[in-house]
Amino acid sequence: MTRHDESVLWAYAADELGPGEKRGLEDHLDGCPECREQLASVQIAREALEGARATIPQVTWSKVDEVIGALVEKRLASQARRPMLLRLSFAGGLAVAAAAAALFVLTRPEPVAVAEPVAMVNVPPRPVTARVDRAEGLSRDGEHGSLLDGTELHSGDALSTTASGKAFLHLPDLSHLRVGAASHVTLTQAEADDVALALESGHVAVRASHQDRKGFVVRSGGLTVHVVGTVFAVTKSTLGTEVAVSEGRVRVEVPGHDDVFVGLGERLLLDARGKVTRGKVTAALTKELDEVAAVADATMAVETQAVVAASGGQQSAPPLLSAQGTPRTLPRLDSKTARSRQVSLPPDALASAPSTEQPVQQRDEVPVVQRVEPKIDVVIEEPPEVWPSMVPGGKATFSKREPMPAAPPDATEWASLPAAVEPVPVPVPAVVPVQTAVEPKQSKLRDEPEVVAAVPARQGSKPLARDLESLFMEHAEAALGQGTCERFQVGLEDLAQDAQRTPRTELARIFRARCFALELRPRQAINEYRKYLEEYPRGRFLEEARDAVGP
Amino acid sequence: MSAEALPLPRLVPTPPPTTQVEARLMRLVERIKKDDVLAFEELYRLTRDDVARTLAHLVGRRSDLDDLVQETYIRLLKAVPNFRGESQFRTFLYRVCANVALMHLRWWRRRKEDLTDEPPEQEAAGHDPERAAQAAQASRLVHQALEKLSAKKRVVFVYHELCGLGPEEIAQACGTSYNTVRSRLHHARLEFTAAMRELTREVMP
Repeated sequence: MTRHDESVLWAYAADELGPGEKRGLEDHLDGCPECREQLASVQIAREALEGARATIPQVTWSKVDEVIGALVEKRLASQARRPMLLRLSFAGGLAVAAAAAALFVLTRPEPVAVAEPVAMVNVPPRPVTARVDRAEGLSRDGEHGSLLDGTELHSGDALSTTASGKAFLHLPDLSHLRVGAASHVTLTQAEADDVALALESGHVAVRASHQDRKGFVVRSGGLTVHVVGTVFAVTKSTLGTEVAVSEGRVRVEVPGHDDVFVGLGERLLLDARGKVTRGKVTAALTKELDEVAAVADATMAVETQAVVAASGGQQSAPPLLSAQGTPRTLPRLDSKTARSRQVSLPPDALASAPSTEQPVQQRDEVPVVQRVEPKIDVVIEEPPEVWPSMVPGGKATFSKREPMPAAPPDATEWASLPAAVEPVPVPVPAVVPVQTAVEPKQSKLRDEPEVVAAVPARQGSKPLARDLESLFMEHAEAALGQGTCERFQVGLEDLAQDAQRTPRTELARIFRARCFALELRPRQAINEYRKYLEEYPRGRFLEEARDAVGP
Repeated sequence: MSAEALPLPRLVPTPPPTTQVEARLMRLVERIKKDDVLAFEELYRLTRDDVARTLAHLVGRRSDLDDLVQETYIRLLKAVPNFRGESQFRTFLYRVCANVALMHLRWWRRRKEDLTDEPPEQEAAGHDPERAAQAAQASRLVHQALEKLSAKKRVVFVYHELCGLGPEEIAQACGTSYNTVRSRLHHARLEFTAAMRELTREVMP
């Protein structure tokens, strides 16, 4: 070593030198006090590094776990409802355009037959009952044998499933109920405007509709669960009775306590000793509930379409009319293909449909006025085959969650979209000029499966998608004003992630940030604002974002 | 002076993680690619301590480490579909950590915030209080010295000296060349030793 090179000393200390280099350096060190001093410094630095390596950083893992858990749950939810998100994300512009175009065609009044839909609307609704959509090993107390798919159920029916049984029931208020294995549940009240269940043992998962009604109550093991519109599960086992919510919230009457609200992602356990414990919904249970919701959505989509068709395109107060259960014509498919449920129309359906008031007849029960019908084949795949296994009761972990604003019963993204398919801006070339005598059926969009078809609709797909995007944004903005924006976050993220930066994607990012701020989730809000600053360095809301992020 | 001309000796590559761990991570990655989000949760459980420790070394004694860990996993979830398996998953993970840390360091330095605010103390492993105190003191000194390094040098230095990555792996994790890694490490070592010398002189005059 001919010069005092500290990096060589570092390499020597780190044992990175070859034997020859090492010997040479050691010889040099013997006669160079300056290098020995330097080596001592290097060794001190390395010892300090050794000590630093052993330290464990302090991280508030409960907080981080919660965020990661929420991320996972969000992904699970988006997977379970992917068909809906496809609509929201507008990635499938063609599908959206075709759906809207089909809807437009369906709703377009026929000049010659203006009076006739009145007759169809006047068709008296059939009595509303609950029914079995799909069941294995389900029986009704007092009867021999298993119940078949399609069996009607009535108030007072007590149902049991075998140890390997399971059932998916359709309730008169358009809610859906999955009964787990080895369960015993009684339909205390099964009316379109009043539903009450009593779970004596086992497990039920409920996708409650947003229907106006006197009440929807589940009683089990001393707990009384009052529902608005939500997705939740009730489990009664030897451990006690547990309520878990994956969407919306429920009010639970607990004996000897004040009423308790159980919100999104939470669960409540009343054990056999009467002790109440709160915890977080497990990912597996969330997945099950999301799948139940997805099945319910798919079923609803079919029903809604059938009602629209039966009423000559008039979307009435639909649930009562349509609460006839899942159409029996649904074929059984495996879960993968079932997820891609869709309605397909032949290419000539839109281009050449001369008369479209009565285009689809899906169910035998729905009376249809005879008229010349266009040939539109509707293929509706079955909702996913969902029989998730019973989730074993996990250890309840305590978690504090920020109070979430409760969504009003009808606060869905699409429920009140104003004139989502207003005919005028839709540039579908092959349709007959429009009359606006019939009110557009915007709510159909909410649950309608994707429509794949119709070459003529392609030209209009992009503008239509953009129109729907703007409607979505309007609706999100309104919800933000009302403090009920949480439901829009997923759709907003889809828009915000669009690679093409536009004023709309910019607004979506800002809406997300504001929504988080409104929900008292400052960290997430700041994250969104940071993303905004990265994505839009010359954006319109720079000041707001900078204020939020800090100096 | 080019990297080749530097008198920096060969860097000894450290042994890679056990193939069992890596294989398990790769299996999880494959599941994540197939939309199995629960696999992501498992991957998070397996790697979170390592990620937190790495980030703590990379960004120093910050009070917002929680946010950085979250940010890392949010990015990771988005990035995993693009992971082609051409490197070890550990390297890929370190790359995500480096990106998060670099962004944070730049942002932090722009703020020019007073670093005298004492962030939460770090814990030392083990139960010996004396050793724990020494380790905490060492950690404090190291992080103060690391503050003197530029962000890029710091990443290379931390990955080599604290995380035990070899130069090739660092080059992959930082998206740079082997020689650049050598060069940065050379300068980082000199600067770090100088900073430590100064700090120890302050502590023990």
